[in-house]
Amino acid sequence: MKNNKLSILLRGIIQENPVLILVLGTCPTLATTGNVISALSMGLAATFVLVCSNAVISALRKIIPDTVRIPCYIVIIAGFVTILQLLLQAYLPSIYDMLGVYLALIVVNCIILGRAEMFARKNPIANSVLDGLGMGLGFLVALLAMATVREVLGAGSFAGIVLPFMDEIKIPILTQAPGGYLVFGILIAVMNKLTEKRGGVKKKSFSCEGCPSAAACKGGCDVKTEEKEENVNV
Amino acid sequence: MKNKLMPTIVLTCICIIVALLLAVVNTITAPKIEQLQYEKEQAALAKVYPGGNNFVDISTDRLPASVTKAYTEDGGGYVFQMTVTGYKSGLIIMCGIDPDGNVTGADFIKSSETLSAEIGLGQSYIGQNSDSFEPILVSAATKTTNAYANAIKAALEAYEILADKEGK
Repeated sequence: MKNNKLSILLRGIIQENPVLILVLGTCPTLATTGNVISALSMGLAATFVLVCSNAVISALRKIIPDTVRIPCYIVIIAGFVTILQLLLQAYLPSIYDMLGVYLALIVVNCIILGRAEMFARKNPIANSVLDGLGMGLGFLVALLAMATVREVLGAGSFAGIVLPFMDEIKIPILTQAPGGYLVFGILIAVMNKLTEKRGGVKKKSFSCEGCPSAAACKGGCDVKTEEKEENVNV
Repeated sequence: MKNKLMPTIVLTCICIIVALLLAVVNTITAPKIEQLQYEKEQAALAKVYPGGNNFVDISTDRLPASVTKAYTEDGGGYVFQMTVTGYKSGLIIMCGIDPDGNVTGADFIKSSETLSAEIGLGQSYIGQNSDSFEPILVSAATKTTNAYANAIKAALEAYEILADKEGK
């Protein structure tokens, strides 16, 4: 039981890292990793929203009808994001100014809506909170890794503290958009290499439950997948 | 019937609860946010009008349309806040003008544009007045610098209107 809970928590950090394995939340990842402080702020903000929204959505999972579940999730997530915005604006205005529009964009962050849809609506509160925490920490770790590379090598500083020995060899393009894409690609490649050694990421078969074309195709995807597997075996 | 109404009722209830929660948080944070905005505004006023004291908000009636806020200060100078359009709308610029009609400073208050050399534009306008006004442009196609020049021009026009009114 304890191992199960621990695996839920740890899964989001490496095995199913939302940024480097699932490639979700790319927009804030590229935008807020120019320096370590903004990456840390964004990671913590997203973790707060993930944990809170997962907990509430899990608690209401038996009450929310399937037909309106997405609007309900959006209202709940937007509520938590707005609360966070108001609190940051009042008590940490420099962080609020630093994150700018990306703070409000947490509402449409696919990691948060994705975890609500894939996990919180099917699992009890404690597990959903752990899942939110794990995914949030995974997001935070990925942002920090990327921001550290970009700020140290690109600006010659770490969290705003100038590193004297880096000043002459810094590569300023790393702090700009092209450098962001470059570092993102390299980190994904490193992560792929690491997970390959662990046996690779297993492909999951997706159910028709969340598919908008489910009624029309009557499980066509499953049939096609099975046919492909049979062909491969032959 | 119950199945048809249930989604509407649940969604409405969630919206009401979230709205109430937001109202509570807003009530707690609003005074603090207002205080911070006031301090930020005062810091911006002091930046464009160094040495100015006791800035008082005055009416912008009869001033150019782009002037959205105007302040007087104890020494007889003015500070104007203009909202203009560069690449995007909502470019807010503040400009201070001393009692002799000379620009004391100007700065961006809010901008959604990618600023580089434009950040220092305010310094370039210091000392200009209605007679000596000369737009500082990189080229005729640079929208941000054009918008900046229009904002300063509007501030100088606003100063002339207020100075005429006071018989300066």
